[in-house]
Amino acid sequence: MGDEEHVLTLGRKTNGDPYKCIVVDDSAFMIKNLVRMLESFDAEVVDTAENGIEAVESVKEHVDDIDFVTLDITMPEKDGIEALEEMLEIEPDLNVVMVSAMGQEDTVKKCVMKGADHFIVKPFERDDVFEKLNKILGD
Amino acid sequence: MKADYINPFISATKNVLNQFISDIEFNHGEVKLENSQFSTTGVAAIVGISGDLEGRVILDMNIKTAKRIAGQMDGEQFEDLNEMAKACIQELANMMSGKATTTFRNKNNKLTINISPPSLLVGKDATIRDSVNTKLIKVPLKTNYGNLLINLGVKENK
Repeated sequence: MGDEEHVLTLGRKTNGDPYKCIVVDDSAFMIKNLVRMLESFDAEVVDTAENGIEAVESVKEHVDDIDFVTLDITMPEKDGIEALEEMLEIEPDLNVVMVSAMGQEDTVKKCVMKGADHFIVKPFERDDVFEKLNKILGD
Repeated sequence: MKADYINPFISATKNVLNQFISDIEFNHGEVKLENSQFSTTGVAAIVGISGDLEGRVILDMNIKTAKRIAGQMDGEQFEDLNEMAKACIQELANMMSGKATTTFRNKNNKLTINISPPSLLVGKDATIRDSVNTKLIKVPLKTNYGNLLINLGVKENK
């Protein structure tokens, strides 16, 4: 998954806190992988969720504290696209990066139309994830 | 079912594994058509395919190979096929299927194809019988981390 040699940091918010996020994926492996990567960017993962239902609950709980969510699409119980809609009802300005093994153009368009900020295709490159996060947090 | 349906799955498996294991080497065997029954060699990750293509793909390997590949993906050595090792193999199948079906979709703009979250079957000689397909395509993929088998059964829905 890319080399870990060069340091990439998202920096800190104006109050000195790290950027905070929720990681959502039905794969324990992918959660571990993303948490490891995001922490290497100096972000703080405040919670993780394994399906869309848990993810929406987590956003409700942490909405005042988080800066972004990474959200898998293909999940049991409730998929990422349904969860995205509910998350944006809770907080319309929430930054959401969709994560999927499927990079089909129509799926990407659908997510962006529904309000996602970016789309990452698995397996992802570390530099690509960093670049996309840096962009949405800088906007 | 067209035999060349298997090609995006072979390419995707190689591509995904290469991203996690830089020194992995591949040598794929002969593509074969077989009847609608499949026997596992130890660990079989099954991904359902729906939409204009319908069926499933299975990524199969023995437990030793699964532990070695999962270990390379996760950066840890697995003594047992524990929950994290299983999650690695499931995600490998998910990424492989996602990439392969995206290739299909990008080549055929009118096709709608979705995949389901992968299931994992652990056990040797378990038989998986398909109702959708009369023929299955299988291709052995030899690697320096052990042997894999891709088994694809899909039909076109038109």
